[in-house]
Amino acid sequence: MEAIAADRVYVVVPVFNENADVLCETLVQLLAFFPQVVVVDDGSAVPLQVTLQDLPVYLLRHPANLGQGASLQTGTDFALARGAEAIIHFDADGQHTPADAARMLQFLREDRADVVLGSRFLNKEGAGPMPKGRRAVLQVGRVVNFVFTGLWLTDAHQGLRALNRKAAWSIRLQENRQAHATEVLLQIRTHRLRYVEMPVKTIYTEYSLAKGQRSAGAFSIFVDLILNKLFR
Amino acid sequence: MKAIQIVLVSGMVLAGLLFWLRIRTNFIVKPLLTLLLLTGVFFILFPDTTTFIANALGVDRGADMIFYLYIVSSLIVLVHFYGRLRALQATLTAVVREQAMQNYSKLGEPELKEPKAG
Repeated sequence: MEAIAADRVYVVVPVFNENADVLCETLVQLLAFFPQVVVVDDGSAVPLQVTLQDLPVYLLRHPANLGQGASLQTGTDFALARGAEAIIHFDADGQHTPADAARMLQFLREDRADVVLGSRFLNKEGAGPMPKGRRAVLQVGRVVNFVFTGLWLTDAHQGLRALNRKAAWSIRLQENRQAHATEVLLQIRTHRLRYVEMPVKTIYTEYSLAKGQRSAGAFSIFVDLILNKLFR
Repeated sequence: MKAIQIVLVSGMVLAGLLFWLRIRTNFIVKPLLTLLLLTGVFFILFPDTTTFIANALGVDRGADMIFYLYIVSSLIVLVHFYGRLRALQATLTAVVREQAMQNYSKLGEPELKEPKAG
């Protein structure tokens, strides 16, 4: 397999009403590692054109808010249309580190997997000061994921992941909202993709905790998953 | 004829009229719904027949049987419309995505200005 050129690696960052400073900081850090960054604005109240005008990123905007899953799919479609060989999904709230994304890419470059999933529980520092409640919800999430997808992972609902071209083509997110993380696993299974978990560091700031999903959101993800099974 | 029968039958007739005039649907649904409406009118005019059918099915009162059937049928309708809602959402997503992909911009690059003619 030929090596993946740096300019064929696209990082997709879904954005919805993100704090401008946090977003810019995240993007600047990303750009230091990856030249091709695709920002998908999921219908934020304030358009990002001006906020991001000095950053060399691709900006796509959903005229209406669809959800994070839909944004990731839009960014992925865009990247594939431009000939992406690898696609990285990266959260906008600054909780992921570009260095982790680069390490994930290395797995793809060495052709050791089609999909690399981040895990906060593979090493000690990964989860850091994760609130206890969230830790408990994620444990339940692991079980739910296993029941729905048959994949027994160390983490549930981690936003950082890397896909090679084959995986990005096969995985089509139809869950527009938050259930996409489980949907990815489901489709890994359906399309028999090779996957690997990799320890990632997650930086919990007051901002990312407030912006991130509330634990109660886990329940609506569960409902979405059941409906997705019933109405495909 | 009791007053309530007049009210209910007029309601059914009105619903039937609206349905025939306004809703364009396929040739299976239309006769089926018409049949349903006619059955409804029949039961309103001869309520004892429902009790007769109910007893045959093991239900004591005709009104109870109608109520049970109503619950089941409304659930079916609910599921049907939920399916349609999802299909609609999928269409909307496709449209929004297409538009977002067409109108992308590459930022951080000075805009190319048209050279002014002579």
